[in-house]
Amino acid sequence: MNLTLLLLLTNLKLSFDAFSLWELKKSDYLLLLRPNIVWNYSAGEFRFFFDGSYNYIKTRDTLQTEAKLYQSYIKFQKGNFESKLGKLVHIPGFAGIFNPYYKAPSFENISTSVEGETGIFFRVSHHILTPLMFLIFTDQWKEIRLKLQAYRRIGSFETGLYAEPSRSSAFGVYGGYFGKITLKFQGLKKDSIAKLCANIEFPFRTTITSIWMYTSTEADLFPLPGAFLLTKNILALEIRFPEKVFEIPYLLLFYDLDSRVPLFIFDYKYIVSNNLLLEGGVTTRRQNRTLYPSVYVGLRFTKGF
Amino acid sequence: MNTFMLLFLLSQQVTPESILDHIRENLSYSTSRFTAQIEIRKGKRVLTKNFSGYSKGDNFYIEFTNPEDRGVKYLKLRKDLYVYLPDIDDVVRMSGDMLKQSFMGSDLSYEDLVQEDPLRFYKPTSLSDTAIEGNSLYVLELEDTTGTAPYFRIRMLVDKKTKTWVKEELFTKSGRRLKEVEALEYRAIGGKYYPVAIIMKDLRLKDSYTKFVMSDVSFDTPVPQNIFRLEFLKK
Repeated sequence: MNLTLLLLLTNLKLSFDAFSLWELKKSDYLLLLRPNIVWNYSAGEFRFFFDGSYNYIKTRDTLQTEAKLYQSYIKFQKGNFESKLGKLVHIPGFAGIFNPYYKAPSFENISTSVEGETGIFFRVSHHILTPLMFLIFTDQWKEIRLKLQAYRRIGSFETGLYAEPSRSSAFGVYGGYFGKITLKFQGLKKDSIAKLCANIEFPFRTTITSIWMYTSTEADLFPLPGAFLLTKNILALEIRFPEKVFEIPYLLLFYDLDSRVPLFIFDYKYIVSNNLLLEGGVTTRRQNRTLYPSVYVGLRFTKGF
Repeated sequence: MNTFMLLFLLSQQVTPESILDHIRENLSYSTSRFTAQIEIRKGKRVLTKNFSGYSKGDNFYIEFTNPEDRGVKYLKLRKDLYVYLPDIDDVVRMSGDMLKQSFMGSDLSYEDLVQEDPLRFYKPTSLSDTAIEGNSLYVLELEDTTGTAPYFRIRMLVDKKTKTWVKEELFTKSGRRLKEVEALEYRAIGGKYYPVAIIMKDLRLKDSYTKFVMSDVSFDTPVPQNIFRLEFLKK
């Protein structure tokens, strides 16, 4: 295979992230430096994917350096059947904040990343029902967990079932309507804990506005930039600006119904060119009824081949 | 003058309807295959994205080919829009209203990008003559009669010789001029005379424009059937 053909089939993306967050009241800081490599190669029915980085994380008291593998898998797809083997990300239900089946960062910025799980994934796509199975190997392949999901798309509706039969009893139901407005709900019953997330999304002037409600019978952890939010009940308002190209604001307002404390994230992305993104933002976190504001700045340089 | 001559002259008479029909004929197709580049400019900053794709009716499939976005795919099926994200190797369904939103942050909406017969919603309301820089042009005004068009009113400058539009102004129902589109290059493709390069300005934004250039395009040719299936997005 000559080099030109190899490059046509390959997508190599190198990036360098620099991110710094300062907590104003405590004078704490976080510095993240991260060179990242994403490699994607397709050959016939097969696809190889690799996403890894080297992370340098410095806080006031600690220094952590580590090589991080986010995803690395081989995929086989023939017709409606697909299978993946390796470390991979699968998000059941609807991707977005407060997904009860998958703990993703509440908000995506330069510092955030999603890390896959190691296992074997199977999916058979069909217009009547699409079942999938994800066998996950943990504890150095000694323990096996099973995630099952089946979903169906009918016109503007999508509905699905989710289960983790190998891990006590986890069972979920989700559904959505995708029209002029979008309505989504996702429920999960795991052992004695019940979680429910509901969302309505609609266009408002030049924004896409989302109202979220999340309730759980036990307190849950939500990752925020540089912090975690521990609560049972949240109301949130998310405002995105899809028409903004070069300067992209984003606002996420939380209202913690348990402590009656409002929190927020305001993010502003500034696109310099195809390769360079600058980002800045303000966020708050709560600890013992005290609010701690933080500011952050970051840059991402990307070069694709 | 005999009757035949009179009938011939009447048949040659230019009416707003006949001009609109001629423009529609040039812009309409049942299927298309294209390779294109979109340049989004604001002040001195420029974003360039390359993509290729297919359309069939109002459905389309687009795959980005520039290194930074390579592998991102869009599929429009009827009123639904799906996006394939290679980083999570999965398809995310977008709200139907996203079709009215900006395409990858450009001045074009998803609806502007690919349409089987983009002027089918409109009826002509007036026709007049004008001349710009020595070129004789018609001014054709169109209005949405269905209530479903992306823009309520279009004011079009049409070249008298080729009967092709050279400039469009797009208005809201309240009469606000929203966008301005200029045809930069026409090319003869499969019996049509098609605008392969356009520049669109969103008049709400200063110092910005979107340039859309098709480098390779064919119309009414067979497209692979499996392209318009969700499973294909994950290939």
